[in-house]
Amino acid sequence: MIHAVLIFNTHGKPRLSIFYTPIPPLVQQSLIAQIFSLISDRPAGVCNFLDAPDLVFPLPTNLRPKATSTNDRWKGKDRAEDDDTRVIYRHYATLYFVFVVDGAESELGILDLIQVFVESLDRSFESVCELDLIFHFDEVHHVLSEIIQGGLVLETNINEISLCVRSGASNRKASAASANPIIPTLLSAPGSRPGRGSGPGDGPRRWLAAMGV
Amino acid sequence: MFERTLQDLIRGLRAHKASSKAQEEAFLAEAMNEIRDELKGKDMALKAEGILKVCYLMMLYPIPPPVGFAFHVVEVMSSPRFHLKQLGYLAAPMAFTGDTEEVVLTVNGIKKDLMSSHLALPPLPLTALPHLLAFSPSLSHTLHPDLLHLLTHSSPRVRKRAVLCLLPCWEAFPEGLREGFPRLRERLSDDDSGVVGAAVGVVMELARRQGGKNYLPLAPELFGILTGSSNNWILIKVVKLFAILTPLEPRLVRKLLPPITSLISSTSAISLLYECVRTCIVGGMLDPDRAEAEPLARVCVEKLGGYLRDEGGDQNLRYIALLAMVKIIPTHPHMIVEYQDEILQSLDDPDISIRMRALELVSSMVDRENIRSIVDRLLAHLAPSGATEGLPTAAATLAAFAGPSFASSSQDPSATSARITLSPAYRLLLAQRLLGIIAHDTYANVTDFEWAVSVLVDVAFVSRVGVGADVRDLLFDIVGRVKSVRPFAVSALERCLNDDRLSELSVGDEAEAGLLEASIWICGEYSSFLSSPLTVISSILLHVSHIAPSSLVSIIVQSVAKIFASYCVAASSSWSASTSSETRSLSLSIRSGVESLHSHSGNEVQERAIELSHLLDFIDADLASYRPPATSTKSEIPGVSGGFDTSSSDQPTYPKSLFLLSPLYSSHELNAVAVEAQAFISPPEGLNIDLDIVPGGGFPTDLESYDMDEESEEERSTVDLGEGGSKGMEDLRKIIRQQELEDQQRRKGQKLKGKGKKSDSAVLTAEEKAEKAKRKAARKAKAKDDPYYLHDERDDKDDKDDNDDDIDEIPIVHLDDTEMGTTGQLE
Repeated sequence: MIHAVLIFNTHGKPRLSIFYTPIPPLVQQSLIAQIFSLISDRPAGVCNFLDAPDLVFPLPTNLRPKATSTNDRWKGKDRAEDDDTRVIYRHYATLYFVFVVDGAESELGILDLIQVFVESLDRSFESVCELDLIFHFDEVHHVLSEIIQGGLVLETNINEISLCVRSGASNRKASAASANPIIPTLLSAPGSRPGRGSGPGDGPRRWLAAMGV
Repeated sequence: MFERTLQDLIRGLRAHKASSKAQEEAFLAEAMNEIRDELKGKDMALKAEGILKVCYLMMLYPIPPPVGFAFHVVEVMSSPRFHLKQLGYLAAPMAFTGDTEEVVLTVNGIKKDLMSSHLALPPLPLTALPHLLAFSPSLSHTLHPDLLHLLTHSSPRVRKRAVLCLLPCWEAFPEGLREGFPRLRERLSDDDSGVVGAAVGVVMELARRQGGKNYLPLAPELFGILTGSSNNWILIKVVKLFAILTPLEPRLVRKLLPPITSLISSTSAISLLYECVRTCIVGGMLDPDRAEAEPLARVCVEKLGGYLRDEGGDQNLRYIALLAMVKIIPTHPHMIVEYQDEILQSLDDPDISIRMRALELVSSMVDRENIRSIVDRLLAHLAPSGATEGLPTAAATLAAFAGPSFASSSQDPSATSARITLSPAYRLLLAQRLLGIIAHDTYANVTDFEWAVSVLVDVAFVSRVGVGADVRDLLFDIVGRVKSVRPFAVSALERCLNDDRLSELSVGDEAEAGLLEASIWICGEYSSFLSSPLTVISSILLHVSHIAPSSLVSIIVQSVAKIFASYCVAASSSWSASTSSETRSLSLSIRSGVESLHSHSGNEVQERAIELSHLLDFIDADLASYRPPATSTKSEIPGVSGGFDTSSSDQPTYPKSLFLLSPLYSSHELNAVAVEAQAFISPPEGLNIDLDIVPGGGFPTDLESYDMDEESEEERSTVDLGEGGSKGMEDLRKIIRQQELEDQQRRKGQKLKGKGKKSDSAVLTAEEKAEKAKRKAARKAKAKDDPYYLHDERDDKDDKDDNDDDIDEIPIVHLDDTEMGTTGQLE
């Protein structure tokens, strides 16, 4: 599965960091810093896979594939034996797109997936640049959530992805426009109970009250 | 009140970036205060904006979320507005951690959203669910039916999201897997390729985490996808999944070969082609027993070799080619050898990723022929740099110690290669690989052990990455196993001891002291090979210092004693006045060196030092009182000396005390015992190894047979190991007997543990038996009405026979005893 998706710029400033495996926030920050320093050290023209002897991705034990025990003492020190985590990245202009994945993912496939992600961003922002990512933090999340869900790949077709992104955006627009109480809210249309959209902020409180909070 | 949007916040942060750290922090604190107010306020839109801002700040700074953040997220999640609700679900993964109680509050809201008839709504909770489900088994339990329901939703967009949610749900709620598995299986043949892809992804993860065994039944569906789908992503996943499944079910290989070979020849996607090749290798399709394996392996290796040779081409392909070649080495090493040059070149690649893969590949390529060239190549990498390889200058040493902290500050690309070599982590890996290559399979590839010893010494000298302890263990092991290498090892390590760099090495890290420790111990243990014991003793004693670890100091004391012992023996053969004074001065210098250790903080050191001082006292006294045997007097007065003739001819020409120390240290030689040594001892006649020790598989039917087993085991202990042979044989026998004794004791211990209660019952006296029978009857009467007691009719029958060997008689008796006792008290 995909453990993390990171975007940071050439100065190491994170623009997006999503961890699909539970990792404490402080460890996340140090991992980002570590990965950045390793990647930014790499000269141009080298491969897109980051292998560093001192980079260890702290995975929860239940996510590790079953390790085959080796009796050979000298083999036991072999990090690659039981840890197939890989850091795969692409460099676009001022940004690094980094995916941390395990052995269930194909290395070259993930490279293509990064390309799909970037192209989807490009379609949604119309020639994307770092500033877009900075000021539309939420939009980047929405695009990514159409590609990856919970560390597993949801969709790889760019057309389908941008369709979903666009329909989500139009839903948001409609919903935001309906802040005007005269226009009925999007969600009080078919199916939902009458009176549900009677006022913003009212619903949740009623709902919480019903739960005895 | 002025309300800041996320954009305003970002602008503000960027504006303050240029200013001082304190100002930035002040701005941040102010922003957090505003956010707190917004979160507490009534306006849902403001609340949502506040949540978004917190998420943004948490990504950038290591700040904790505000108090009650998760609660506010729940509020926004339950907003009726799509755009606010979406923000709530977006923030949920960041707000909820394992210990967040608010998850409970979300259940009904999520359920409602999941079941909403509005197409846009279910995807929102499904996006956030994987994170929430993984933390909360109860949430997983509650939502499991809903997720299963959504698997047949009319919209494929909802279906594929629901499929992906199953994985975290089953992870937290494993019971759901049984119920949901058939439903997941149906999704493998869904009309929508996105849903199929999601289902394949989930199966892949499940198979990886739980082992593929349970997922073999899915093979027909997966095979259908493999032959029917044209989506490269799904094909890659299925091919990878088969790499897990085929080793478990060899029959799959025959079925898979046609589609996979056709994919290899037809696909234009390199990623798919590579995964097919990899599955062929990893999935055991190249099993040499198959007729088609050899050509297939040839195809695979050619494809990989093509990637590797691709000059100026794609570095990524070189990387993955190396990655896959590692897997094919165990079965087809001869094919990889053709690409040896390219692989060795990759060791010098400026890209550390490729280097590491090449290193891994190279270490599994090593055989008897190429071990020297490969090890030399790796050693050259390990040496700080080419110019200083022979004798590191102070500057180079310093640079090596400083590592990349200095080097990485320079961004000069030409320095990259050197920088990689200097990275301590890479050097550690390199050094460990080197040691691993030598030690592999108990030195199977090493033909020349003198060379191996010198490599180990070199590694210890140049690596400086804390592999000293490993080097030490390997040196001990080699010297112990290979007798012929001992003289060479001793002379090499003797040189090391006189080398100033050694003490430099061992000053810093304790791990670096490994070579020093090995040198001192080996020079001591095999001191007869030393060329100049006097200098060795003095240079060893130089290493006694307060900062040296006490383990090292105690080795020093012991080794000095050993060297002195063998020196004395050697001196005895040519005893003269000069050797006498030399010995006495040597003893004096040892004593002065050891004396300071009498008050050492380590007990072991203290004890050894005092012991040695006292032994030296003896020797000194003897040397001082020694007079050369008066051979001349005998001839002068033959008559007088006649009576003492025999004794005076026995009188050695050297002080006897010279032989005081030697037997203490060298009477037993340390030998390595081969793993198969036991097999060379033929079992004595009359010992049937195949006979069951405990007839009936370890569950004796009666006590008599049990006793017999014990006897037969006693017999076993007196195993005849034969007689005669050399002293080594005798030692071996001793060891084997010792092991056998220990084994037996252990076995007995286990037996006592396992069947302890039973052996108790074996020694019951008649009185106790009667008592037991009484208690048993009482228990029976009591249990008659107990609905939880399974009544066995056989019991009654056995009872009539009053059979001691009743199965009920054995362990259960005592357990029930205690229970009875307590229940009795309660009543």
